[in-house]
Amino acid sequence: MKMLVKLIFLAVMISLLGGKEGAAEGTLQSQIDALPDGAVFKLAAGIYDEALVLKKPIILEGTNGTILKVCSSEPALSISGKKVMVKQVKIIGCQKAESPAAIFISGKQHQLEDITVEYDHLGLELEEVNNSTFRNISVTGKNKKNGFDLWESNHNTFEDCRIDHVQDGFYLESSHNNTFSGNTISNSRYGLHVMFSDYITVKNNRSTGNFTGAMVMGTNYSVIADNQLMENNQNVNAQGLLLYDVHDSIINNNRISHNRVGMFVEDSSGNKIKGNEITANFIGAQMNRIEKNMIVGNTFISNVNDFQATDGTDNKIQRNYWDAALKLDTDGDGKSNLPHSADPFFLNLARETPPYQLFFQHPGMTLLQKMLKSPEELLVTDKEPLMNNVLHKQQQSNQQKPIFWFICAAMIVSSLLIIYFGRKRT
Amino acid sequence: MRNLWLSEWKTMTRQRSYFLFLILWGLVFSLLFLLERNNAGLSSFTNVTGTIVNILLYLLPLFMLIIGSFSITNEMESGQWQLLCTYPVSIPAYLFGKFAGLITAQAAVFTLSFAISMAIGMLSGIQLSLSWLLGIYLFSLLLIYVFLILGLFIGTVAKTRWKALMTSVAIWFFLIMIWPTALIAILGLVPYPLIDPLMKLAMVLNPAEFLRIFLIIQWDSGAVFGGSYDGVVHLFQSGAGWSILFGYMIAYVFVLFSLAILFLRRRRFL
Repeated sequence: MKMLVKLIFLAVMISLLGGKEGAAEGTLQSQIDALPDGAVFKLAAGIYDEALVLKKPIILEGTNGTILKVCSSEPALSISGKKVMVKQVKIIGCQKAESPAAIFISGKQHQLEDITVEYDHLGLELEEVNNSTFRNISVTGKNKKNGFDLWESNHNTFEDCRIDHVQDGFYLESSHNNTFSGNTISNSRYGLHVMFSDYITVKNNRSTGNFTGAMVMGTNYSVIADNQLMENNQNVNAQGLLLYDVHDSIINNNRISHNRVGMFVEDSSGNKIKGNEITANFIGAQMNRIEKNMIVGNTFISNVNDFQATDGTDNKIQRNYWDAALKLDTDGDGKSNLPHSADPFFLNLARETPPYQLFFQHPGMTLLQKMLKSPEELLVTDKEPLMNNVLHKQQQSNQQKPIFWFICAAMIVSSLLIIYFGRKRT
Repeated sequence: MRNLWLSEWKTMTRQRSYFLFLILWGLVFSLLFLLERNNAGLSSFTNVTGTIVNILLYLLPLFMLIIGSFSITNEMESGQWQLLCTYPVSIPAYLFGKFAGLITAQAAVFTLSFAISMAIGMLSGIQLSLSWLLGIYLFSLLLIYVFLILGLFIGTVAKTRWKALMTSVAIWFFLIMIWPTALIAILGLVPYPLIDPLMKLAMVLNPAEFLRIFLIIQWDSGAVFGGSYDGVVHLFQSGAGWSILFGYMIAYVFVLFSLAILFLRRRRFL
């Protein structure tokens, strides 16, 4: 017993008199615990090896170079209660770290900003978190676990986060009314993975190089708008946007390009799919068993096959712009008088033998197409395809014009000179 | 060689039929650029781009094959070749001089009509993307290059102009029109795993295909070819892409002209 008292005394003396480093590490949590509500706790630059627990409304503020490197079985940061704010902290995992998540959060009205997480396991785990904001958070993993994992968390906002090499960028389950905007997710399995969550808003996000850009399952009354879902083509079943069991939602103005399947919709009803730009996908849109959806004003350009649908009832497919359509407008209303059907003949050819896809838009293909025409019932028809691509914004600025004329003139003059000197008799 | 180049260039430009090409290309491109009005300014690969590329692939190779093969068989028939044989002109110099003259004349008339169509397009208010136009222009020049060489080669093989015409049309029909159908028919006979490498081999063997695919990939639309060509797409889009094209063009002219020189050398003493 005496020995123990001596040891404790020694430890206290050391921590008070010298051993600065040891003192800082040993007492970080106790310093935090000693703070009153609403206080600011500043963490200087340096590497800290201590798992922190924030239970009351305080502000934890790091600076450039504040790193938490935690090798324990606890999360580097555990946040609970309400109104906790964490700023500018970098969390890196160490090899021995066993904690399932780098940051564990519960409670409400938290705010996390400028946080970098480099962790092999789960990035941020949210359990029953409400009304919290997550801004400018960067998560890098090893494709094993999710970046953000939400469970029964509602009314949260995720802005400007960058997620790379994780399993799912954002995984939501039974979490309603969450908003995602300005996030970038890349090189992961699913960019956004929504399960049984309603009233989700997904705007201005960018999802590239994933197996699936956004996988949305079991949601009602959600909005997916202005996102860029591109180059999700690493897997044979890769899609830009997958909607399964989605009802009464709005899918607007997204840019879906260079995916295996641009938009895959199944068992969904009452959705408004408007103004999306679907370009250069293997299959532009594939829809199975859909009911009462509105597919209007979208642009389909340069997809190997624009549109496929089976077992659809009562859907409104109208006034889309089809790059591949033959267009003729006799009454000047901007709509073509010729209905357009997407013929899956080339798709069938390429599906059986993928190397034949090299013949896409080959000059000799028209010949083959006439021979292998698909039966009428397999076709999806837009009765009033648009004449002009309304979605396309004019990209060329007037600055290019002088260069344009210069090149034009140079070409004319040089070729005229060649012809003139050729004709000149010497 | 310089004299041959000059004479070829001068005789080409002095023919009245030469200016028919000016009208033809001018008309074709003006109409095609009008088509582009709907997706103005879009510099990527669209259906209209595909149509333009296809029309170029229909027209340019056929004309270039005929012009190239006629320029040699014509001299064979008229006896100019026999006359040239008495001069101290080497066969490679003859071939390269002829090629240089032909490509100067053809590229000039093509450039002129292309530029005029560009100007017409711009004046009629169509927003054309510059990179898009230059891509098409480069593609056309490369097609002219490739098929003039092939045409000259045909000229060295064919005995008369009539045979040269028949061979040119047959080769054009095979390389352009019937290519996918023929490949699908032939590759249906080989084991499935062989289809992929054979398709890639076929792509290299057919210069029109090679150029078309290169162009589409450079237009950042390589994804339309699907997963089996990811490697090719990455390769062409990497820094090595243009040097591969350059190497291909050099190898192409080397192989065809070596064969042409062999054939001509045999005929010189007939």
